[in-house]
Amino acid sequence: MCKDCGCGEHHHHGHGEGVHAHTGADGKVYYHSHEPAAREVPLEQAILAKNDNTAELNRAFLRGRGTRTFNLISSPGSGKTTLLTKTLEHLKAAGIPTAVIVGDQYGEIDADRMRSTGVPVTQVQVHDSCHLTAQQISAVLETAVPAGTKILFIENVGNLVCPVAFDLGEDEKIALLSTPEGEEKPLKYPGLFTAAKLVLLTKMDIADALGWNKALCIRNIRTTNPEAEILEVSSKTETGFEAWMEYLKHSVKQ
Amino acid sequence: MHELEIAQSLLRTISDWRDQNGAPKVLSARIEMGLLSGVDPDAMQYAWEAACEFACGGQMKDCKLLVDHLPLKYECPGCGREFESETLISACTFCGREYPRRKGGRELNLKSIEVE
Ligand SMILES: Nc1nc2c(ncn2[C@@H]2O[C@H](COP(=O)(O)OP(=O)(O)OP(=O)(O)O)[C@@H](O)[C@H]2O)c(=O)[nH]1
Ligand SMILES: [Mg+2]
Ligand SMILES: [Zn+2]
Ligand SMILES: [Zn+2]
Repeated sequence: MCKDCGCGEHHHHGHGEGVHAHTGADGKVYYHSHEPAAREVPLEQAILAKNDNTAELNRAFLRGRGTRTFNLISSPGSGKTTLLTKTLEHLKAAGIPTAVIVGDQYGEIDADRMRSTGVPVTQVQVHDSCHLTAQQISAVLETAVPAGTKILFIENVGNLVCPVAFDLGEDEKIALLSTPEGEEKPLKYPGLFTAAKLVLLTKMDIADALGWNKALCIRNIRTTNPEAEILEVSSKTETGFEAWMEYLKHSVKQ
Repeated sequence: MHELEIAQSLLRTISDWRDQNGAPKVLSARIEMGLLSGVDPDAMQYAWEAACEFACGGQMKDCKLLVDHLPLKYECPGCGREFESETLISACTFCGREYPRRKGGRELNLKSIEVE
């Protein structure tokens, strides 16, 4: 007897007959199907395990070289390249060997801007992808980071969401949030802000003109990430650069 | 749209498993994702269907993607309670203490597959 419908028929389960009809003892017509017996197979693993494993190898390589690595993530145009170009000049003046890997969809515009500082800058073309992967970093790592490099900056593709899921082997993620983007982004895109060790509030020079609400913005960052460090900078006026340089120098010593 | 890349990564794992286990039909794949995984559930379903369409010589075509959404887990240093929340919170639901400690949220894991 079929235990599902009580119809008294004998069915052969397991060969996918699909839906069929029975007239039950009460005279009603019942439809049901006998799906083939399925079994569940546990396959517990991180979906991005392959990326994660490569990222671990990158991390081991970089730490072995004594290099501290920062993965810079923000919306397009938040000021990553402008900040880095200025920062590279300061680090050069301070005698701290630095290297940059920059991911861009097309062209070498950002890379060329930063090369003007004389620091080694390696461009990674990501084509239509919205983020860098650990594999792309691994492919250029040895040439991109000369021996003796103390700091490696990775400028990720301008995107607030996708880069967060892909560990590159960095020591820390830095989120940039520019004042023209408003105060609410930390709540709308908590993925990045919860993952960042440092949040850099950029374009502070135009904050007043925009009527940007600093207290609200900081409260929103704190809601997603109570432990994040927050620094305010302007790459135009170099306001806040002293604290930013201190942050970098301190992290290199660790 | 990194969801497509995530779907392809998932498919690769399942396809490798099929190859080593007599290539049975895979009816569904169960994954779990945290609120902070950065994966959009609708985009993920769409990407999964697109990725499955021609995978494994058409063998994966109707494979369903079952998603368990994991809530955020908090532990309050004030009252010691552990609790779950569907949203990010800045104060303990029980004692009001600011910034209870969040655990996880970034999960993005394959749990199991259902095969014939
Ligand atoms: N006023 C002001 N403008 C800035 C500042 N930093 C950057 N900008 C301007 O913002 C625009 C974008 O800056 P980029 O440095 O190219 O931004 P990005 O994050 O590298 O952009 P993508 O690589 O495309 O994601 C440029 O026009 C910069 O001149 C700043 O501190 N103050
Ligand atoms: Mg840039
Ligand atoms: Zn994307
Ligand atoms: Zn509490």
